[in-house]
Amino acid sequence: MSTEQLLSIKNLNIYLQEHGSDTRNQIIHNVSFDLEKGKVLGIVGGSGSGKTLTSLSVLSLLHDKFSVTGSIHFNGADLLQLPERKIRKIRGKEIALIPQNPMASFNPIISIGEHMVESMRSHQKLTRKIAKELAIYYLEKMNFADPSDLISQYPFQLSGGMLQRVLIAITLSLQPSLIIADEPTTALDKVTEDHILHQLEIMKEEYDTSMLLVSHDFHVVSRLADEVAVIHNGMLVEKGSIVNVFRQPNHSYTKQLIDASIRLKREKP
Amino acid sequence: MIPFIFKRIINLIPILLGTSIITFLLIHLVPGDPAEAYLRLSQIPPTDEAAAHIRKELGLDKPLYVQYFIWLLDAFQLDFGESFITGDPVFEEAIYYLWPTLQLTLAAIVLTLIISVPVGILSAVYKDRLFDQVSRILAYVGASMPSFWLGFLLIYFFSFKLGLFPSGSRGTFVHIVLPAVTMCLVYTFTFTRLLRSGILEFMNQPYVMYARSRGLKERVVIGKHVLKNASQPFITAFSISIGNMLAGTVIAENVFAWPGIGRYFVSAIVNRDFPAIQFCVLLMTIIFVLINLIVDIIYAYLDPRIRLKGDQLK
Repeated sequence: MSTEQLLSIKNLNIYLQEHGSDTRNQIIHNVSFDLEKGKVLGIVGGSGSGKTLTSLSVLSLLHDKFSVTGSIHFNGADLLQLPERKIRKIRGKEIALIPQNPMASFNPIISIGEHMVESMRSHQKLTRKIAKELAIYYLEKMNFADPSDLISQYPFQLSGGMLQRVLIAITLSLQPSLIIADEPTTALDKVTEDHILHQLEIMKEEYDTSMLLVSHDFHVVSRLADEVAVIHNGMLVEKGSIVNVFRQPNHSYTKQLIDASIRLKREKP
Repeated sequence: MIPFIFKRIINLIPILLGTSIITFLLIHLVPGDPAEAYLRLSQIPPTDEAAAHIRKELGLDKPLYVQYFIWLLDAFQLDFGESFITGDPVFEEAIYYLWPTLQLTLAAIVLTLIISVPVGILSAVYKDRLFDQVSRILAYVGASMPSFWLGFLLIYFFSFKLGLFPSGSRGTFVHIVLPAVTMCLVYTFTFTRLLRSGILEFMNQPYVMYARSRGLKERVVIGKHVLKNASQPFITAFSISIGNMLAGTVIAENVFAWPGIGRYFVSAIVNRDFPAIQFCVLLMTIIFVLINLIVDIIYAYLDPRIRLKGDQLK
């Protein structure tokens, strides 16, 4: 492992064992990849391919019924060997997740502001007042018109696109060195998608943040990623620089994915 | 929040009026003639003449709606008539017996909460481990134990054998322990399981996973993101049970010779003491309605979707 690697996953295997069942199904097979500091790695695959599982395993957020073997090195430490207490300090502060489905990711009975304040306060010593001001600052950065009003609103009062932007504002406020963005634009309209991708681009340039960009859409990945890893049926079938993979895909599944995104583009009026 | 509470209180008026009509009509739906019951309890031979006289005196010869309005007007002045047995105003009598019952119920409620909330949380957090298994077994045992039997068991062990607590009557703090334990035990175990399953259900919500992913302490994740949501079905069940507890005090009151309204109510029914029955039913209804109001306010406090319903919905 070279010193520049921020994240290095080696021989990752994930197994699923339902409670009370004897059979253990392997879902992720020997996945290995590296992410350099300041770079964006796109993880591409169809639904059910295991890309979300892979990304959640980095933060040890998988359900009990999953077991993980292999190694996930982050800044030199193997995350799979760390005790829960230490992992908690890395979550959010070092590695932040932008979860898929913004509508379900907010607690319906807790205000937007409280979501932001609690996140910041769990990693920094801040008074509620200062945390609130910071929350407004980061929401302003996400181009919200009236952030001081927004923080007292509840998730059900916001649209999916707005919530997605709030998710990014929360991530910004935590200033992590690695962001895992899980399908950040799925279920959004094209205009909002463009806006979100633009914000992620700014985050990459302005804060020099590294990113794992998980998506099924080659188009989204091609906008942000430096490198790409293609996962199919829990196996890494192809990886390389985005230009090389896009021009000369080796695996037939990669070709299918690229064809699909191009065809979709053409079909649009 | 204030307009919400105000709206709920306004809503109570028709409910209470409806209740008053039903409780008033009760007297005419129950088999037996009130006038005859009055005479019997006053040890007067129920001749037709005497009955007619009493009917006139109690206003039973007037049309039903006139009787109702007279009763309602009196009720507004807290005059609910006199008991057929003692001749004292039922309002004063019932309130006198209500206080010990409220005391007992409150003790049982506090005891239930103190035990079931932490045990429920721990059973969820340590799901399928030893703690959870033990609490499950206790829940089965506790929920299937009839409270009169449990009451006698407690008296036998803690009062008769060990001499730790008095076996009955009301007095100091120690007197309330056994009846309160008898009343709360069934609920304690049921609520523990209810809270546990609620917590487990919300534990798998995406927003709980997202809360963890932001590095929140497990205490915050459970206490704020899981428990606040999971508490709602718990509060519903709990509010229903407060009513049941109040009504169920009659068993504990009888076993432990506790001078509460349950015993007063039952003896009123046995003796056909109509004014007392009427007032007890009304009183219980008012308590139920008030508990419901409090629960609604707690819901609105916990859940902004209820509080803000109507405005700003997208």
